[in-house]
Amino acid sequence: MDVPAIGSRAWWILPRVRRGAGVVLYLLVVFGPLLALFAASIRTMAAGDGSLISLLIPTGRRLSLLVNSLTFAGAVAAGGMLLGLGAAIRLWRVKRGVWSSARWLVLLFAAVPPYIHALAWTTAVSFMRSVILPGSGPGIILQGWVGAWWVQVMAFLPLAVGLALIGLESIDPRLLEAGRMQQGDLKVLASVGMPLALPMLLAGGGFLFVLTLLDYSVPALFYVNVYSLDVFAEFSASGRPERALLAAFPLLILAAAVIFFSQRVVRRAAVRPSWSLASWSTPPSWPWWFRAVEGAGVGLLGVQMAVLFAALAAATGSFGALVAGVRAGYQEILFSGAVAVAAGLLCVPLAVSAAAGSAARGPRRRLWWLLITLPLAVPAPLVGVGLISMWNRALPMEVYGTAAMPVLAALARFAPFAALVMVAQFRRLDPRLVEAARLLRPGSLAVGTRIWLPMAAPGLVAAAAVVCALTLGELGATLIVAPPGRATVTMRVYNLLHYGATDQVAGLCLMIALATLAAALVAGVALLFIRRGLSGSELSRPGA
Amino acid sequence: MAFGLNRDGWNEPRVKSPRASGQRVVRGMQVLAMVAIVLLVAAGAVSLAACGGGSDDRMVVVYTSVDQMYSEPILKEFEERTGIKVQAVYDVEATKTVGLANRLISEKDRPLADVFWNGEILETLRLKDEGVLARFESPSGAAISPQFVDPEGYWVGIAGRARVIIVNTDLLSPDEYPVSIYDLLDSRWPADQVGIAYPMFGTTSTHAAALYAYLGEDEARAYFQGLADRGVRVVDGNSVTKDMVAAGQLAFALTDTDDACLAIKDGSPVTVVFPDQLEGGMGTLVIPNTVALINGAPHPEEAQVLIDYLLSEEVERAVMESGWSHLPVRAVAVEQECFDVTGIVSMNVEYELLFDWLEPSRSELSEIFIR
Repeated sequence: MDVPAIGSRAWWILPRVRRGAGVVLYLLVVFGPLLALFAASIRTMAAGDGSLISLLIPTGRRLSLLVNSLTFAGAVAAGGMLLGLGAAIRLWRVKRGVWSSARWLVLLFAAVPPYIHALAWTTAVSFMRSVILPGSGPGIILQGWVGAWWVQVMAFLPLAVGLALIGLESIDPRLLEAGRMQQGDLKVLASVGMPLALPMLLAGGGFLFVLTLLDYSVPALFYVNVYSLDVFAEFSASGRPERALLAAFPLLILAAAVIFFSQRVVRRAAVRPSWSLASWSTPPSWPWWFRAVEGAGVGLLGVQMAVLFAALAAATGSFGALVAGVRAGYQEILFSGAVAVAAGLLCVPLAVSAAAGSAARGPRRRLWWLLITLPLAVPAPLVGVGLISMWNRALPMEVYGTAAMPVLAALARFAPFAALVMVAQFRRLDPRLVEAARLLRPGSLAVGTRIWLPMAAPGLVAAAAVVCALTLGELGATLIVAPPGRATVTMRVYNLLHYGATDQVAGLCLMIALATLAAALVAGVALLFIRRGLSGSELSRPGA
Repeated sequence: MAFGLNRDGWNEPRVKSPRASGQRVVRGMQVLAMVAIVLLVAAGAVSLAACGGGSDDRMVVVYTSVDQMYSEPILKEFEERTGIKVQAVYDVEATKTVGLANRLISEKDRPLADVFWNGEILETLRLKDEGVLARFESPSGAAISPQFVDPEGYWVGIAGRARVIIVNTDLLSPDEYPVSIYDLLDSRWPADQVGIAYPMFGTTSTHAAALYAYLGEDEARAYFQGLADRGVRVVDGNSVTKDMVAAGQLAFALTDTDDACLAIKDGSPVTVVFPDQLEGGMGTLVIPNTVALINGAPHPEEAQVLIDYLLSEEVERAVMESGWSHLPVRAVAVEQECFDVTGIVSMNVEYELLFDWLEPSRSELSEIFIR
C-alpha cells in the first residue's frame, strides 16, 4: 500500500497513475487479441449467423473427441505428476551447498518445445530398435496413444518434477519431525507429508492437464485425434476465426476452470519462505522398494535429458553439419533472439503491474488471479488471429506488419507466466521495508532503486528469462503475425521438417534447446548471484 | 546526509562496517544490471528496426505457399534482376490449418501482401470468392493453356504438381504395385501398410474435393468412409506419408510429386505410380500453382513486375527443374530428374467446380477422420 508522502501530492498521485497505466497496458496486451476476436464473433452472430451458437456445445462426434482429449490430458497429467513425484522425493532431500539450488535447474528443460522432444524420442526409439533387434525392419514402435502419451509425459517431466518439488518444499519440516517421534519415516511421509503436499501436487497436475488439453502438435504427430485438432480443422474448413473461437469455447471453459481451482493452491505455495531449510533433520530411512522408486524417478529424468541431447546430436551427424545448419539459418536465429530479448524485457513492467494487482484483497484479488491465469487457457493460433483483428488498422504509428507483432504475440501469450513469477517474488518481499523507507525519504527515487529493486531483482530477472525462453520456442501465434521478409528459427525448423532435412532440423533443434537452456541457465545463475550479493544485507531475509 | 539499512535499524548515517562491502557489491551489480538492460534494449531495438526492411520505395510483398526451398531462389533471382526488394512470407506445413489464405482473409481490409503465389489452386479460388483478389493482366500468360487462366482475370496457373502413389520398392515387387487410388481400399495390402495425409488439409483436401466433384458425393463419401473404416494410416501431411514410405513404415501412400521427387533424390528405395492411368481410368489430379494480385496491394507496380516474372516460361522451367512442379501449363520441354510425365492422363475436372466442393468435403471429412 502506498504511503502519501508529506508535502508531496505528486508523489501520492504518481504511483497510482503509474499503476493504472501498467494495468491498462497488461489488459490491452494480454486480453486485447481475445477481446477483438470476441467482438468479431458477436458481430457475426448479430448479423444473423445463428449456426455459430451450435458450435458452443459439443455433441456427437465432437463430444466424443472432447472425451478423448480429457482422457489423454488426464493420463498425461497423472503420469507426469506420478513420475515427477518419484524424482522430486529424492531431490527434496538435497539441501547441501550449491546442489540445493542446482536441483531447480531441472526446470530449465521445461522450456524446450514439445516437438523437439518428439523428434528426439522418435530418433532414440528407432536407434534402440536397430540395436536391440538388428535386421527386424523399420516397423513403427512409437505411435498411437502410447507413443503420444510417452512423449508428452517426457516433455513435461522436468516441469512435473519442479511442480512436485514445490509441493514437497511447502511441507513444514517441523510437522514431519513431530511425526517422526511417533512413526516410521515412510508412514510419516504418507500420513503427514503427502496430505500437506497434495493440494500443490493436484494444482501441478491441473497445470499439466491444461497444457496437454490445448496442444494438438504432439498427438497429431502420433496419429491421435484430439478436440484441439478439430478446432483448427474447423478454422481450416471455414477460414473464419470466430468459428474456431466458438468451437474452442468448451476447451477454454474447462481449462479456465482447472486453472482457477489450481491457482488457489499456487497462491499459497509461494508463501513458504524457508525452502533452504532441511526437510528432514536426519536422512529418512526408506524401505528398499521405496528407494528403488526414488532411483527410478531420478534415473528416468536423467534418461529424458540424455535422450534430448544424444538423439539430436546423433541425428545432426557432425559438428560441421550443426555449423552449416546454424549458418544457413543465422538470420532467423538473430530475429528470434531479438524478439525473445524484446519480449523478455517488455514483459517485466506488465508482469509487475499484474502481480501488484493480485496483492489486493477480497473479490478484486480473485479477479486479478483470474486475469493472470485465464490467458494461459487460450490456444496460440487464436492469439495470432486476434492480434490481426486488433492491430491491422489505421494507427498513428504502423504496428501491424512490423517486427513488433511477434513481440506482441509473445507478450500476449507469456506475460501471464511472468506475472506468476512476480507474484511469487512479491510474496517474499516485506512491504514494511518499502513503507519505512518512504517515510524516511519521501519522493526519493532511491527508495525504488535501493530498496524495492534489489529485493525484487530475482523475480524480475526470472520473469524476463522465462518469457525469453518460452518465446524462443513459440510458433502458433508468431507464424500468423510474422512480418514479411522475416521468420523465426522455429518457423525455419518447421519448413525444414517438410523437406525431410532431418540433419538440419536436428541441428537447429539442438541449437534451440541449447540456447533456451543457456538463457534459462544465465537467469538461474544470476538469481543465485544476486541472492548471494544480497546476503550481506537484511534485504535477503523475508520478513526481516 | 545519506541513510541506509543496517542490522539495528533505520535512519542512521551510513557508516563503514563489514556490511558496507556487501552493499557496494549489490550497488555495483545494480549498476551493471542497468547497463546490461540498456544495452540489451538498444541491441533489441536495433535488431528489430533492422528487421523492418528499411525503405519500401521499390519493394514487393509476396505470400507464398510454395515451399521455401523452391520459391526463395526464384525470388532472389527476381531481386537481383529488377532491384525490387522482395519481402516474402512463407507457409509452413505445420500450419496447414491456419495457413496463408486465412491470414490474407484476416488482412483483407488492410492488406500487407501484394502478390499471392500459391502452390495449389483451391485456396486461390477461396480468396477470389472472399473478395481478397484483384483482376490483372500479364503478357507472360499469353502462351498458357486457357484451362489454367481464370476467364475473369483473377488468377493464372503455372506448372503444377500431380497426386501420385509413392511405393516402397523393398516391400513390394513391381507386380504388387498399386495402380489406382481404389487400391488403398484393397485388402491385398494390410491397412497399416497404407497411408494418406489428413484429407481436410493441404493438397489432400484438394484431391478430396476433386473426388467429390468427379465421383459424386455418395461415392466419394463411401470411398473415404471405406478408408477410415479399414483403418489405413492417416498422418500429419504429405511429407510424412513420403517419409514413412521411404523409411519402410508404409508399403505405399498417396502424396504429391514434389514430395515423391525429394525421396527419389535422397536415394530412398521408392518409386512413383501415377494412379488410374489404365484405359477408362479417371486419371490423376493435376494441381497447378497459381499467381494472383491482392486487392488493394500496397505496391501495385512492383506487384505487376513480379507477376509477369512468375508467369514467365523461364520460371516455369525453373520450378520444374527444381523438382517442385512436374506438369507444365504450356508447351515447355524440360528434362526432369525424378520421373517422366509424358502421356500422363489427368483427371478431367473444372477447378471452379472443385472449389464448390471444398468446404462441404472438408466438413464431412472432419466428421469421418477426426473422431
